[in-house]
Amino acid sequence: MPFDEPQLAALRGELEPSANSARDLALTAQTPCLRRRALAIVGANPDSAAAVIGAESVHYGQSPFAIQIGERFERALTRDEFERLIEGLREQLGFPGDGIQVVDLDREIPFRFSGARKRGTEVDVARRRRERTDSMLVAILSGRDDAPAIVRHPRLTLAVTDSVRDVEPDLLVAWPGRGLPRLGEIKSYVDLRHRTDLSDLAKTRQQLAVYFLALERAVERLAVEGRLADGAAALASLRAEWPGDAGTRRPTIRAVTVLRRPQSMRPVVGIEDVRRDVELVQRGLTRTPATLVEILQGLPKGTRTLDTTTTIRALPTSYEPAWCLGNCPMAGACRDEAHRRNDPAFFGKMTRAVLAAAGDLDTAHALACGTRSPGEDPALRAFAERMRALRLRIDAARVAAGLPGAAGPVVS
Amino acid sequence: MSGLSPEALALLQAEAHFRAAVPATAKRHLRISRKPLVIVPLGLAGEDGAVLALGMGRTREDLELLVCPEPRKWNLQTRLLRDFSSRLLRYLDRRAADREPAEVAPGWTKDVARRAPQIVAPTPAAATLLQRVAERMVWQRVDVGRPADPDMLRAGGWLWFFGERHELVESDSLLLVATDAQLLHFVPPISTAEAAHLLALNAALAPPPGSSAVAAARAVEHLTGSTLTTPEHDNRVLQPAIEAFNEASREGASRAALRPLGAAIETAVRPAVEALYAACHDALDRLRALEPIPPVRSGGRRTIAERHAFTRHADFLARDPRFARADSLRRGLFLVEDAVTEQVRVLREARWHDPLARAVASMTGDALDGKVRAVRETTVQLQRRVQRLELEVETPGPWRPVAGGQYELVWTETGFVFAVTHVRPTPGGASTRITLRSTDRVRDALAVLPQGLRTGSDVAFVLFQREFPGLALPDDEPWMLAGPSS
Amino acid sequence: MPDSALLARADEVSRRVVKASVEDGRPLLRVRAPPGAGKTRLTRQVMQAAIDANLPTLVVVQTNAQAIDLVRGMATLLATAGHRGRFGYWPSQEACQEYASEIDPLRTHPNVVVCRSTAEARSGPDVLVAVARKWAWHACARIPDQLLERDFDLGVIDEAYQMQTGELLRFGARADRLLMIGDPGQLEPFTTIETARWTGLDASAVAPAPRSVEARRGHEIQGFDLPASLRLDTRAVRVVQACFYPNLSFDAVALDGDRTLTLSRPGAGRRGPADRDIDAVLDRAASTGWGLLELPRAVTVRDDPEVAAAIAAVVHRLLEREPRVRRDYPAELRHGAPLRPDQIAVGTAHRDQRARVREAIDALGPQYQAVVVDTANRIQGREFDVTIVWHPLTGRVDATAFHLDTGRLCVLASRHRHACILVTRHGLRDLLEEHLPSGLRPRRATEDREHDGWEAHRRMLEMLAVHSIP
Repeated sequence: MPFDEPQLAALRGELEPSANSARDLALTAQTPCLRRRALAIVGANPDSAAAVIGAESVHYGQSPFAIQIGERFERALTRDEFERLIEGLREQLGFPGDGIQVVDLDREIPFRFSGARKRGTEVDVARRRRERTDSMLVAILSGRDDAPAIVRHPRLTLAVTDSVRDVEPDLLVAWPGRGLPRLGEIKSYVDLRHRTDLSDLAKTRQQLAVYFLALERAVERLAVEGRLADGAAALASLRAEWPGDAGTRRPTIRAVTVLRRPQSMRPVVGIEDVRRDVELVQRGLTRTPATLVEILQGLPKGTRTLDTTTTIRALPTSYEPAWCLGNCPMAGACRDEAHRRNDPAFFGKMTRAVLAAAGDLDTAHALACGTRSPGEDPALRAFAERMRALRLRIDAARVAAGLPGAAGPVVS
Repeated sequence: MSGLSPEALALLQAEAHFRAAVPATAKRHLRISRKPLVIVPLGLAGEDGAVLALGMGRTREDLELLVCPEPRKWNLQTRLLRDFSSRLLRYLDRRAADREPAEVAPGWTKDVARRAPQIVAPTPAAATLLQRVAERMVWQRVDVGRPADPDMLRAGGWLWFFGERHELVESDSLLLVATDAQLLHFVPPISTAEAAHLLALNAALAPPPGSSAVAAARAVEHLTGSTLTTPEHDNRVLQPAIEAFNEASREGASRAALRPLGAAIETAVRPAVEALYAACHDALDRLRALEPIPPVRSGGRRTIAERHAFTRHADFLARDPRFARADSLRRGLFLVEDAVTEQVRVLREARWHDPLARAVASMTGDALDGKVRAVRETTVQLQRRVQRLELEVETPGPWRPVAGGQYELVWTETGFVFAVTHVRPTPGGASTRITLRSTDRVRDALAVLPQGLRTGSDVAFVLFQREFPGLALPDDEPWMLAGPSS
Repeated sequence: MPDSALLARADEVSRRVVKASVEDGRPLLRVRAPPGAGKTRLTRQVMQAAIDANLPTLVVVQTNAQAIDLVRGMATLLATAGHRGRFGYWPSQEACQEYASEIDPLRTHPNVVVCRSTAEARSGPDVLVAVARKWAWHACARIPDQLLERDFDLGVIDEAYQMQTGELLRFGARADRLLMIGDPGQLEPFTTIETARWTGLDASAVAPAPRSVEARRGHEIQGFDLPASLRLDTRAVRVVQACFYPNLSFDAVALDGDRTLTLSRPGAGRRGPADRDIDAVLDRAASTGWGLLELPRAVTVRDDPEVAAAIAAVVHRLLEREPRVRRDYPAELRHGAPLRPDQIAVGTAHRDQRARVREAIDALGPQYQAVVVDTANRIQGREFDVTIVWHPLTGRVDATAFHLDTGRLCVLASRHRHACILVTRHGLRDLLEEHLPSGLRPRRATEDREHDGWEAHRRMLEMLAVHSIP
């Protein structure tokens, strides 16, 4: 029985739920860190975990201005019956002129409860959204005329090994009558054509990949439930093929990106191929230890929740300054740890690769200075030989240049 | 940006980890102007190319702060950009106009700007922000009845040039980035990712007494270190101030009423700009303390090249310039070839003048430092029998030449080319003996080499790379490359 | 028996290319050729047809070595057939120095005119061969008498995917029609500067020339695909095509059993485990065409002396066991002949690795000097009977875009006619499994060299796992 939302909440304990679980899960394609992965699978907000262990973030954090522009852009797109979004889809993706049906689940089945007119508990709203999404998917895949072309915040379920949780992509887009549903994400960073920020694009694709897995799962389920005339065809329609050369076909998974035109609130709509990202996310999510059971088994005995310093710290990490400092609220703790342990990773991937043969900075420096012998191990000998040669040359050059002298033995 | 190989960087980082920042070079490899124009731009998170505040000045004491209370409003933003433009143009126009003849290439003298300008930005993100600002200025939104502001166009055209050159030309000194410039010369005990924060980097390079480098860097990390104020500061101070301003604007408040609200925004950003501005000057001072290699001195090759490039662009701007969103093939070719040629020269000069750079390069056979063990003439059979000079050099540790490479003796300006004929490690491997044979006539060799080159003297070589004279650019794209992209 | 039907098909494609380019005068042609497909042979066929038709043709090759190969091969072809036609070769100054001994005999060859000046090139034979750099130079020279103001009806570019667009930009206008022949799966042209500025543009000065032409004139290009590799046999193609050519399907002319490598002396069980492993991997390679030698897991410096020693030991043992090769072509090998040292090559990713291996092999003795040791960049385009590859990811803790580059591994793994042995360390699988490709590709990109290279590496390791020793 997969862990469901209430069970995940129980595992989270005092930890806040994640603000955007898809974004958290997408980072399994960006970092091998097991701690972040475990938190993502449990659906815990990493900021909350950081607060528990008292870690400090370094360059992480979202500015209110960034949040603001995100909200403004979404408002601009969805205002007036999604006028600007539709215009973008028409101009840039060849959407038909009229007959565009839009379903906005935020409006139709909102999470907000207004006073006496209680529209239902959160669980109930979630269920209704899921069901509505299901029926819209059936309509789209059946090529029905009344199928919507744009769905805002459809609700899908994602299975992550032994847990399930709901995710809500920004958009589901379908060319009327063609039965090809595509996921879409709205992002407020600007489209600079070929100079669009590569890191932003990568993250967007990875999020779309997470949503795609949920979409695929939904279609599979609908087929099993007999709601689709041809389940196999429906699944196949989620993917597409670029015509390759010489009659080869390149598999692709198309998703829609809605980026912002520079200095405006108008959209630039495009298609991205997220096939590779889907594979990566799939692997990231199933990488061992993957199941919650496995993760919990790795924790201190008797642990049932992830909301204590002991349990969070028991989850191993994988520090890499270029990613962690800007993306993780606990980076400060890992950085301190790496520094304390003389871990070459402290200085980044490249230095870690160069000094990996020595294991730690202490050994590397000592071998280079000749104050420690590499012993018999041939890998260490080769490393020491090379580093020693470089060290001697640098020291000689320093002397020749009148710079403060040779490097000395390790100073703890 | 580092001139060090990954190996050398890792080695020095390991050393710095246990001591403090260590030098990466023996000399300075960038030109530092006497009074460069330091520009500290602050953007707004999530916005693209919007400038919230901009500090600029030529000396430590003279910081001018321009602030735009609401950079998301184009009419307010243009006010800042216009102020910025006029100041930038004042600095650049004066230099562009003041010309004198200089030898820009062997045998080719031209009138070029007498003094090369220099813009200093705190971080790479700041340089990128300036590039985005350049684009906005160059492709201004023009409304009916409101033509493009010519000053903004020109200032944008200038920033475009500085940004593009910085992107492509190694060790460009027209646009200096304070963090990168320091990282070229020093290895701090912090990672490159952390060093993108100028205040943290400066602290790590020169911690206050009693503090370790790492602790000093940590202590300032929470402050603005690049182009964005921190989220904490935004939440607490900046956003409320901008909101207040906007609300008052929306309600039609008078200019007098808006002034204190604008001042509050200025107060919110001033400390960040001032700190970064001071940090830029600290960086410049630290770099000035290093002895410059000749090419970056006044009258040096790179300085003249920069004066030349600057002058060329001034003339380009005077001729109704166009700026494309993507390089044409022709322009791309021009940029690549320029960049590749310059890179070859810069590498050679770095190794020629800096023993530390040679030490690193010698690990890959791109340079050689050693002692002369023998000097002799030898006879070689080519098409006829000729005399050549042969040197036997001993270098500590292992050494391997670049396959098929030739080496220039670091001596006079234009060096002397040798081929490696023999390489053998001494028994025990403590050093390597190399035999080099000159590729020119002995008579010429002996005429040039002063008496200093004798057994026991120190000698250095750098890999010789022949330079090909530049080619003309084709006028048009050939037919198979013409036409729109698919 | 070779697949003569496939050979016939390949010949048919070549024939059609020659007809389309020389006779029919089609303006824009592109031929994609898998490794060992006979690109240079096709170039010679086009040249011959052009000579016969007196068609002014500009022939472009990428390196001096390739130019010499092409010119010598062409000269021999014409001389053997008793052909009277002549073609021109315009060598660069460096070529004249470095390859003086190969070029001098050509100066008096009846079928070749070696041009020594721009004037001679201007008034020279219809068909003229030179390296890309030379064409670019003389098309744009600043000095008037270096400027080649001569137009050609047809331009033929060999190894077109190794040429930067910038070169074509320079001399392209000199040809009215263009034929590009190349292998899209191998290494792309190499620049020393940061080219991020142009990443994501479908046409740029640093992109391989055919890609820019495809971007600008895609719909006008008539494309041909050579369907066969003449170098790789079916066992090799099975792996190489699956890993590196998802968009180009091709088969081997040499079927199973056509290429044999026999080790006359058996593996001797007497020695230590390391030696037994070497014998075992040689046996494996001899019987299946592939071998994977995995040394004990370790994190090492790049030019790991142990790996270099192992490679040298493989070479040494290979020759010690009196290897014989048998294949259908050339006729002398139909009944088998000893494998010559100069038909063995070691391929590495880095120069320092090459130097280590060179030292280790030279130490084996003077008869081993002929064994070729080179980096992927320099070994591209060449072929050998047996290759040994220093796997690019050996001894590393992580993989980078450079090491994962699909072209590098493809070049290293597609040079051989009979067998290829990869040497690495245990742990490669884990390294690849743990790697997370960055996904940093531009908007609307269809290619992602890092990710695709990662997939190719994994697929190759998977396919070779069955040949792994120990």
